[in-house]
Amino acid sequence: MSEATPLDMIKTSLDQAKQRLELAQDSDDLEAWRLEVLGRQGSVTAMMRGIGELPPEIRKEFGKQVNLARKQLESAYEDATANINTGNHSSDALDATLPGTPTLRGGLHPITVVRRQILDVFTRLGFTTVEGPEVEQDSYNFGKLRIPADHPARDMWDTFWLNEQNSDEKLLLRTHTSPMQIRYMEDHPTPPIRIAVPGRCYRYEATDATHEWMLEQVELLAIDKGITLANLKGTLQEWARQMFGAKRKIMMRHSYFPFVEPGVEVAIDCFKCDGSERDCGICRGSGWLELLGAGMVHPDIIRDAGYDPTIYTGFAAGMGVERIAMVLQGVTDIRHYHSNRFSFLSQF
Amino acid sequence: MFVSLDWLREYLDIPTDINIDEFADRITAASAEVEGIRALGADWGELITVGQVLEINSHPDADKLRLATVDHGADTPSTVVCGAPNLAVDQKIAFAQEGAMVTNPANGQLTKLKKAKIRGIESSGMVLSEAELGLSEAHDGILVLHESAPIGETLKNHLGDIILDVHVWPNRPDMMSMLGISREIGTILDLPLAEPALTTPEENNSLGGDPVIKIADTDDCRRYSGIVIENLYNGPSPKWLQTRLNAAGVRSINSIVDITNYVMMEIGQPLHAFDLNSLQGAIEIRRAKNTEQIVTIDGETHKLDEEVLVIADSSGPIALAGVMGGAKTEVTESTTSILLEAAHFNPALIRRCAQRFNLHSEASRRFERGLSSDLVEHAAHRALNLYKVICGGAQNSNFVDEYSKPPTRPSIAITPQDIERVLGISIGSSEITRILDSLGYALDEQNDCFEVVPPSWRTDVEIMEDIAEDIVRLIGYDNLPAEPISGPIPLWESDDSQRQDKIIDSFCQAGFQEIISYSLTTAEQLSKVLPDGHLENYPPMSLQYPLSSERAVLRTSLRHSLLETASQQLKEDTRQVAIFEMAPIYLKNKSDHHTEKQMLCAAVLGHELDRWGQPTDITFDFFRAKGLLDSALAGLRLDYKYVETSNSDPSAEVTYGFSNSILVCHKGETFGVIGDVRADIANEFGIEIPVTLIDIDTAVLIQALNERNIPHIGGNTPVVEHDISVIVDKATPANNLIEIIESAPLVKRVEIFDIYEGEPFNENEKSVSLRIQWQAPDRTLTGGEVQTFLAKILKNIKQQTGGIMRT
Repeated sequence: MSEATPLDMIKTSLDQAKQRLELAQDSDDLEAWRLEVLGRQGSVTAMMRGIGELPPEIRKEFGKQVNLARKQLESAYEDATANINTGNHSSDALDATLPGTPTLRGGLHPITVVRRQILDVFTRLGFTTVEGPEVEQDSYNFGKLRIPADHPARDMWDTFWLNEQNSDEKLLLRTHTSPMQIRYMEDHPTPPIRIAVPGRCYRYEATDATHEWMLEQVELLAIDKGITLANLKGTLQEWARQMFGAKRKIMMRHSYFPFVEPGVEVAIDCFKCDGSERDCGICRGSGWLELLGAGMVHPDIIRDAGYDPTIYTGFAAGMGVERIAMVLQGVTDIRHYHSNRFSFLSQF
Repeated sequence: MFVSLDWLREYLDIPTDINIDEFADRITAASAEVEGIRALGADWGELITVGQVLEINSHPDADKLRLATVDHGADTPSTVVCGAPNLAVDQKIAFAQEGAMVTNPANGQLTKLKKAKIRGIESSGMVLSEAELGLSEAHDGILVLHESAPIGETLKNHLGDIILDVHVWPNRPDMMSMLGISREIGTILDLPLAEPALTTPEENNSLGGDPVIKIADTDDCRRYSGIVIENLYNGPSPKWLQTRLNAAGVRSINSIVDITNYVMMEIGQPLHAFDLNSLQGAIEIRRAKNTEQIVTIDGETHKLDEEVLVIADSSGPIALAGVMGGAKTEVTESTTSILLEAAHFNPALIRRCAQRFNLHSEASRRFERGLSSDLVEHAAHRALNLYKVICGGAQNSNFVDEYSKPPTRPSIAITPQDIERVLGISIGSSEITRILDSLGYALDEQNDCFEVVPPSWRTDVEIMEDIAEDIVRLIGYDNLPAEPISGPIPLWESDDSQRQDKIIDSFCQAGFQEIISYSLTTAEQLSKVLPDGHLENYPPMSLQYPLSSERAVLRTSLRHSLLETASQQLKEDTRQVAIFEMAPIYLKNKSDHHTEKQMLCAAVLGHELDRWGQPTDITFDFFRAKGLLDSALAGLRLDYKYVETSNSDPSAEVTYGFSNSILVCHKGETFGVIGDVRADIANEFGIEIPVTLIDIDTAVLIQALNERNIPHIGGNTPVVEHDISVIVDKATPANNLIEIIESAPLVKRVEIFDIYEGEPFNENEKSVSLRIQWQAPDRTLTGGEVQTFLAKILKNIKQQTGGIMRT
């Protein structure tokens, strides 16, 4: 084994210094390395100083090599400094694919999401949001809405009756948000009126994939001079466009509710298949989605509110929030909404 | 109501190539909703035909089986094995050839008919029962067709039909009949209506003596007619009539009863036939007496009183008017003479009676909707015609018709402007005339002003708006323009609803998931979160008839709902639960009013997670929940304070069930509470780890939000900071120190940064370290000033808590 030449020693020193530079974690480490290697008392300077002790024939080459090594080390030092300042470690680099630190994640119930969507549109159309009681008097839920006792129209609303009474009047859980039409008119002696009434309603019926005994409705009421069925159509058309997309059309069909005349059922054309798919999961091939009932407020009700029905007309509409949510969110079983399973709720 | 297309064709010339879906859509759009379409015989195909039994021979190896030779239109007759007891020579029957699709009565499945050997005899076809045709459940004999059925015709052509399930609106009793529906469809499709054959009763028919009819109150019974018909055939009805009743969903009984039902289905007027020989004396329509009772034809006995309208003879009640006949005068197999009733009763009375005895019948369903009293005569004449043609009966009395108070039909004045005011579209006089004329209205027009009388069957039409509806449904809603409301936008009143949304958003942003739970629960669940005796003093409102015992009372607290949901989510393997609901609770007041109070209740529980999201042994505690509440309330920019609960009243509802708790207030008014749920209560909900509840009165919180604070604008002057440690009694709440310091002048902020107990302090002492910041709005505070402030603070602390500064 031959003895290492002075030029080999330069190479060895250079490699060692580079290795140590790679271990530097922060700017303190870097400064220590710089003093040790490139500083006035550093190893490179020491090598230069020792040049006089070498045989003259290799002095020139040695000096050249040491200067080359110094330049390499200075350049490596600058790179290392830049890397540490930008946090770009050459070794032990951050694995950015690791999960973030867990935090609690909150969110709205999907029904709240859709109720707000519905109300936001009507707010833009000038409807003010008001709420009413869920426990109602017989007269507000039925009688004042022209649904007298002993009339078969009552069969349209299966009712939870309470054991309690109010001033000799039977109490019930409201079957629709329509009682608020009457309550609001009683409190507002002069039209114009434009309200949207969200709220829980209750139906005495068995639960299945499309029926729940507790449901949410949004009621609309607009009363003013000159309001027509065409205004109802225009308002609901605009609502449908803003809810379901600019291309949407609505269709009105004949219907009957004792508190409106004329009465209509309103459907929108299917936003999923435009009526083109026979086995569409949303409209089941019919091309239409029945969404709500509506009509012109019955003149008896306008008169009972103290307004002159020859001057004032109005429209009313009622829609089920769950029904619209199911259509919008692609939920096929209404029971998911009250399951309160976190795995379901956290998706909205 | 089930509507047979074949039956409709008796009155309307409906084209044979009609697209049934489009046909149904047009009815739905303009009149009544077609909820279903069922094709009868859609599966029968070409291989099931009308056949005739030529001869019957006994089976050599089986007593109950016979061999039938059937001509079914093929070149040679087929011989098949048949077990039906009603098989007879010359009968027209439904014959299935090999390869036909036949329903298996055992499971309702369609099966392809194959050649088979039955007890050694090869059988290449089958004589079918109703069940095998999928017509009904009947499988105790074969289906016998009318003798006129042409041999070899496919059964599909001969018996096939389309049944529409039509939902008739409650205000349209006139459409509860084939004729009524035909009239409506005829108007929509512009087809002429063919009326059924009627027989006008002979007058001065005094063969048997007229029935005597007494109406006690014409408000209860506007019209009552009776006619005696004798010498009636009473047996199975002709097949065509049975088929019609079957299509309408009515069971065939015997020819006398079937004709009453048939006329009801055809014309809409319920009829009743009394067995003439069982009647005693005059017919009386009156309220029942409290002592009376009746056995109805279903065999049930009903105790009666003055609320019930009955038909009575001298022996007492013989029918519940308009609802159900009595057993005493029921038409039986031996009946050949009847008194036929056609009448009009008060709709509300009929409905009350049907509901009270739970006897909803086809008759009561029609009466309670308010039929036209003009139908009575029409129906009686139709029934008389059928009794003569089908049963060979003879009219044996005059048609006695008590009708002293015919209703006055409304005459309604309308103008095209009225119609436009409702619909928003201008419709010309000639179009109005055309539409109303097609619907049977009588019109009198003078200078564009109409006097309109609705047809007698349209008992629903009372006002101009009803006529506007008739017009718009016939011109089509698609022809209406869609126009925005043009008037002024009314005053905005949605502030409370906006505030509620803001609160909900703030809780979601703090990390809470919103839930919606049922408003109904049980007293037992409520009692778990309410003090003993609370439910007795403040009972919840309850349902008369709950759907289930689990949902019987209205909740007076949300806490149990949150604990139930929390428990369920834990079982779902959710490691951290932070949930809330904003919903009303329902409180019964001492007066007969009730209050609905909007509450916000939240539950926090779970395990802290390590850096990898794995649950640790450290569970969420009170302060974790309080931190979340702080975060939610900070999001509302609310100036609130925590106030210790006074423990003087352990039965207080607000703090009940908490092992420790604190109230949340705004300007001295409490709006909520946060507390750790007692372990024994949490256990009752199946929760084994610590759980903290937050319960907020939303209205008070909204009130607080409405009182906006004037924003504090901090200056640029230097902040002086000083740390102190105070040694106080262990029981002294740290918040007391904070409040004392906060109330001192120019204090900008005070924070606790350490609490220490142990050496060198006494066992009943603790050291609280606080960092205080002062700032003057207009100058730099000097060291001397701050020392003065600090001394004052320490003096107050000493005075109010006995605490001294640690030096």
